Amino acid sequence: MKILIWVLAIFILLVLQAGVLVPLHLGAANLVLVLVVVVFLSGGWDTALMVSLIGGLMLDFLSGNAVGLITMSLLSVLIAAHLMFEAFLTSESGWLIRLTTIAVATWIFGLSLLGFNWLFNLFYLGVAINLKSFLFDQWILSLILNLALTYPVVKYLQLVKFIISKKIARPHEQSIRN
Amino acid sequence: MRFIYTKTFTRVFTIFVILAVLAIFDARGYLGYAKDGFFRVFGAAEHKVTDATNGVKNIFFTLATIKSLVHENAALSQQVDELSFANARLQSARNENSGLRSALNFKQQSKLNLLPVEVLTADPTGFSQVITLDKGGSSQILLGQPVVAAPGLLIGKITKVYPNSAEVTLITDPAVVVNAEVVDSAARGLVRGEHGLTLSLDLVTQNELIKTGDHVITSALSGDFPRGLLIGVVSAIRSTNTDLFQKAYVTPAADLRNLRFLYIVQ
Repeated sequence: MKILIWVLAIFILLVLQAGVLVPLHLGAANLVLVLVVVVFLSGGWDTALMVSLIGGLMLDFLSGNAVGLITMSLLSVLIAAHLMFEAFLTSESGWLIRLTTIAVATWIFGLSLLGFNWLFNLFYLGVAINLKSFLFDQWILSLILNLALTYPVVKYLQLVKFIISKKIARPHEQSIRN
Repeated sequence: MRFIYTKTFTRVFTIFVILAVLAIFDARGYLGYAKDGFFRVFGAAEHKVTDATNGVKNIFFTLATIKSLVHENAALSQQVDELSFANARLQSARNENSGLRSALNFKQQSKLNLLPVEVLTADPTGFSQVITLDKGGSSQILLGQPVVAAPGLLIGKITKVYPNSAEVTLITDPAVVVNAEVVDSAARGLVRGEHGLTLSLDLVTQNELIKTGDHVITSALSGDFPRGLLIGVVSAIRSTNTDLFQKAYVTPAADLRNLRFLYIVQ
């Protein structure tokens, strides 16, 4: 049930990104990446893993790239964040930590995407990238928009967690009454 | 405890293996039906949200530009009259051209065979300039077929075909290269996408004269696209006299962010 709710939540987030941000010329934002980071910082490593897998697969389908390119990049970001927070940082999720993590995550995501694309190109599955345009236009726009949209994504995550807690609490209450 | 022996590593490794298997299945085309279903559901939801967003956008745009609408209306009315006159002259020239060609036993220029399609989804990240259409291999759609918007604006070409859907890579993607010609000067070059933001016209020799405002069309030199499809308008020249070739920026003629009804050239 929890997995189904997360699948629906990620689907709706992507519909909002495609239906609202793209017509307003803000399509460079990556809300799935922001969601993965925000979920991870709220203490949900397993949930973040699931979100990166489901969200990454949906983005791979929509982008027309070989399946796995964006998913593997998201997973790389998650693993990097996990190792950094295990080794060096506290996992308190204040706004400064959140925004810094999202900024670093955006950079790592871009680098991972280039790296995995090079790997996929060895098997003729990658895409052609104009490196200059990607680094100086797409990447910087993505960074700015990801930071700007962190607050709405945090609120969206709180809504999803609220729905999950209601759905999981209700069967427990019923079993206790029975 | 070593990281490679942890549950975390096991889960991550398992996921990478699953992704590798899915990538192989996708490359072999086994995920076609799953993708078809996903595109249709996502596309239906996305269209509704996009229509609502565009409705709100139009309200604010109209309020912001209401003053200039009166002047713009007058200018456009005059332009319509001028274009109607030009159209009539062109129609006459076309008829004359057709007659002369048949008189010289030239092959008659055939009209394009167009298949109407609707856009289901677009890449929301902007990383790749790909859209998905609602028809696929079952409608005789083939790889490499050009895609246009009415009345002859080049959009892209078919790069993947599934049973009931097809993917189109837009001309703003660096992977799509179009042999182009500048209408006024007949200068020839290559148009390539600049990651969804604009197009660049490259490899134009220095002795050719190109200027901002010139229309750029397909030249059909490579055979990928029929001749005469409008690509865009030169918006800026970005080269100096010391460069080997001229380069220019081209603004796409079609609004590639708001695509809905298109045509495949068969």
